[in-house]
Amino acid sequence: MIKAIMLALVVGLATTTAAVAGSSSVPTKKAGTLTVGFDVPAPGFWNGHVSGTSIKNPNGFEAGLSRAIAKKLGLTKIVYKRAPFGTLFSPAPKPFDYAMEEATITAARSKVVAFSAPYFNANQGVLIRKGLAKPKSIADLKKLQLCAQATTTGLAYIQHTIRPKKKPLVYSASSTAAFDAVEAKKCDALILDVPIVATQSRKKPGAYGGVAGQIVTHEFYGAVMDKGSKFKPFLDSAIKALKANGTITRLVKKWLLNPIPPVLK
Amino acid sequence: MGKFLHAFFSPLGLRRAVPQVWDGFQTNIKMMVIAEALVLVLALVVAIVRGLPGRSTLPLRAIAVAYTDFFRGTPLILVAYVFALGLPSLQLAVVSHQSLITYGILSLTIVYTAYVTEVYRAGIESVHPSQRMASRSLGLTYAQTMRYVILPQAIRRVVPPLLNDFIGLQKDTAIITVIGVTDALAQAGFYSNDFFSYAGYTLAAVFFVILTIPFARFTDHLIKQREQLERGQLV
Repeated sequence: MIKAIMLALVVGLATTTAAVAGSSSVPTKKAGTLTVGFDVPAPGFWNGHVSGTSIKNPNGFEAGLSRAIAKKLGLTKIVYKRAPFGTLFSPAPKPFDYAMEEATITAARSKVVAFSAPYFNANQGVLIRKGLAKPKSIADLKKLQLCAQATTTGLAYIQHTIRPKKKPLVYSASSTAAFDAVEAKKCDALILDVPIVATQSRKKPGAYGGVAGQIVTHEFYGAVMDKGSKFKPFLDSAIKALKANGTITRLVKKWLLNPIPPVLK
Repeated sequence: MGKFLHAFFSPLGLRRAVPQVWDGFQTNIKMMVIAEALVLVLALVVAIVRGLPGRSTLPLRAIAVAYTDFFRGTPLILVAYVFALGLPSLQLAVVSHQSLITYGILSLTIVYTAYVTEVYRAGIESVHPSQRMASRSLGLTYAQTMRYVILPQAIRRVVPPLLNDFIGLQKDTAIITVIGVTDALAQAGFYSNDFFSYAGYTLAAVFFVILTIPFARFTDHLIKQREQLERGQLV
């Protein structure tokens, strides 16, 4: 037992030092190259033109973060590989070192794949109609006519946690109908993933009253890797370092949320 | 009306979509060419196996029948999902490590081979049995009879329906988009997402039509030619 602990300590120490050093000994699938999985459409996360199985000159939050990770690990070349979201959560060997596809970390998924340290808080955003006084708390939301898209986390959150006085309006099919309802002032506040409402609000300036706040869901996005990936400790340390030095916040502000909406309690 | 025309046929939208949709369409062409070549050969093999004589070949015939029955009745989209998502998760040596496009070609080949087998079989059975008996009595082996007497006539007869099935295959390469192959349809979708214009879809349709029309005319031509030939012989 003591021997096992010692061994674990030594291995742990070795991996951390290697990760910090950022040397060419990073165990990527192809030596010296970082292979990143992506999927589109994901406006704000991955922008750029897909060609064959790759993407040309990508930018966006996850693209920018991948470049920062490569730099941190001392990898000079990045290869992008389209890995459809539907194919991610299987024990199949992955053709990439990691994939960043707005994948929420869940226990069920963790059984077949490895997740990196979280790199984004997948909170719910509150998009309000024009002319509405900004709600300051979840209690304020209770009094409003809320709306959501069918089968989303936002709707579940309205039904189970906010429990508004008026029945929420539910739009099936797409988020477009829900956005239209806010624009037409049929709905006071739409609850949907914060990057989605923020992107929409920026795309159509003047149509809405803005993103009034975000509701903490304790759900996080993590990069997906092979179960038992040797690359995981390196990626985790890179993500943690980029979080600590403010790079991630800067990228979030640049591509997704500017300004970052206040948290409603 | 104006809104509709703008969404689907805006000249700028169409022109701007060309490079992107063409990028994807090359994948469609690649899939259809490889799948068609494979189907052409494999279907003939299965059709010949189905027609083998004698009691000893019964297991082979049974396998061929079971295969055609099963894959002719299974939706292509389902087969594509099973191959693209199922096979990799088995973590087997070679079959689990193929690219998505390979799985796409594989599903197209397996499903369409089942169809085309029936086309070949119809052709083989349309050759009068007396010819088979005649060639066997002349001393030709079964293989020789098939090679020199039956198949040349059978294949010539089924060329039009064969081409018809290939037109179907060409269009169905678009189904492979569901497993995540970046084909013309996927690119058209990305385009509509980026520019709020459906011109990408229109353009993809145009590409497919441009490819199938010469095929259809060629089929018509072959049918006409054979009709003339047969009528000439009758007179």
